[in-house]
Amino acid sequence: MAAIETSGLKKQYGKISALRGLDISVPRESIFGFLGPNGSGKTTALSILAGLAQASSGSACICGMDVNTEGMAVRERIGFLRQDPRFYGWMSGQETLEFTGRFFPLDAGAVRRRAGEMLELVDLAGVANRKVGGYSGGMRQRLGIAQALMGGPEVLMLDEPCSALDPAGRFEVIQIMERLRGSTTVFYSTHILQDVERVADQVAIINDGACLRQSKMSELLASSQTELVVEIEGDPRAVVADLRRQAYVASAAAEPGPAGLSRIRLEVRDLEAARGHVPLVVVAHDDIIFVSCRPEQPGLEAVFLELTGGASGDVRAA
Amino acid sequence: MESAIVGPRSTDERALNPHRALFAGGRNIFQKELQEWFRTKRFGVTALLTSLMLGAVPVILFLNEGGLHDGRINSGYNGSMDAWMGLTLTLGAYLIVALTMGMIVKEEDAGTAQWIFTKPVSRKGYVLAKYAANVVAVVLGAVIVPSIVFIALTAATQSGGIHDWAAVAEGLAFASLNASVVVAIVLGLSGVFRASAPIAGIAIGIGFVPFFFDRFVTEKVTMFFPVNIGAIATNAVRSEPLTPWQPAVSGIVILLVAVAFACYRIDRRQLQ
Repeated sequence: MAAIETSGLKKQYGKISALRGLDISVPRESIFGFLGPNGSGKTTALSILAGLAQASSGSACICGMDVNTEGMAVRERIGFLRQDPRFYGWMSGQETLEFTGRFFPLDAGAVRRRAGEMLELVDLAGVANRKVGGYSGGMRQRLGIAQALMGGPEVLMLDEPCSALDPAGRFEVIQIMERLRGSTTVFYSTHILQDVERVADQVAIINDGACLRQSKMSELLASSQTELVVEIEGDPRAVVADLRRQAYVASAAAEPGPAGLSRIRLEVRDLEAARGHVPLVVVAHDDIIFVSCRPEQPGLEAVFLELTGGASGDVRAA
Repeated sequence: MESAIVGPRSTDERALNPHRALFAGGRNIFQKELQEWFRTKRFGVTALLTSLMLGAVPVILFLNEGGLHDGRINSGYNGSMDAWMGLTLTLGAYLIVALTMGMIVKEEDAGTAQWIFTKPVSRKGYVLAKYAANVVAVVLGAVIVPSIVFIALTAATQSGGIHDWAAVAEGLAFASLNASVVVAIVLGLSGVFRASAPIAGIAIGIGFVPFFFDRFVTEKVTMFFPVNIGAIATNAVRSEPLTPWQPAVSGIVILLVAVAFACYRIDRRQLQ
């Protein structure tokens, strides 16, 4: 059973379609990156999953329970952090977490203990008794993560958890996610691609309210490897001319490589065939020494741009 | 920190603690709401303001009556009682509207309602807890505390002190009912509007409805407007019969309908 499963999820706001049949399946205990440009429907999808909004049609289940009909049981099993979380300014951090904990079936001692542990976890123990109204944006974000973990969730849903944090804060959040790996499903939306590459097992890329692609991170990157880089010693011109005649090569171009080597960059139609045959083409030239042939890792940013058609105005690689 | 701390609670632990679904989280919200009244300046300012308003009544009457005779006011007891109830039920009602108009919408604007609704909380429980806590706070701050001030001053200055303590208690009960109805109307309007201005405007405007209708309908009908709870309260403190009964009944009906309507609407409200 998947931790989160949506099927044909649609959300209409008047004439605007925020979601156009979203289908995603988040495996249990995975760290799942939910990626998309601003306005792509990420927050709408999270709002429906968290029980804040209702879908116009389609279904959404968390831990096998329908978010619409079994909302209370679902919310007992999730932790949710909104983008730009807000709390009561007159409560202290400790009180905020205890208030959150009292919504869950935990006794008073467990609530107090857990609140203290969570404050330690997000490095707010030193300001536990300070009023939340005096917290900075980053501190509020960390308190948000702590409150999301108060109920001991099976599924942790985070909407842009790193957007208000500095690099050190982002690193801490990523570390918390790493710590949850294998015990809690973490479903988080973001537009910071570097964080997704660093921590996510699986990723879904959405745009315009629909899922363009969902797969394991490694598969996603491998599937887009259409470029080979060949390094040789010697004049590359004759080799490039030869390679351009091969059926599996779409284009070939030479450029200077490191340490006096020459580098030939190939756009290929069939990666496997190219990897096997390109070295043979090179070594057929007596005046050339073959050094290496490897696929170029395009990175998530390139994959994202390829899938969304460049709708990346707000997407940051780092 | 060990990962066990941040991991999920076991299924057994959840199974041992079955949650009350219908009003889940209501007690927690109720306590939070009361804390917000008492730990911020809201309650203190309300009680001070209403006490000054009502405390001034015996002083004004004292001056109006031309001073003390043997250290006490010898007349105007009923006038003083009328002024007390009049202020409590009219100015008090406006103050209550101002104090409670944001009880739902302010939380939604601030985003704290969205935070709470992602927890295992029943929205009906949330609405009822908010209503109950606000009624407790406004009855205390805008009815009971200023009335204690008024009663103390009256007992100290009026010749003969308080004539009928049971009548005062009855008057306070009807003033509290009036406050509960006002909060319920504000709550009901919060189920329709998502901004404070129309809620306040309409809630105050409802108080003037009888003035428009008394030209077109008979007194039998206007007697059912809950704004006339003031008439019962005034009769009560004067130790006169508790009439008319109609506004008390219609007030309770309106209270129940408004709270149920707010529960229904807010339960279905779409948030982001």
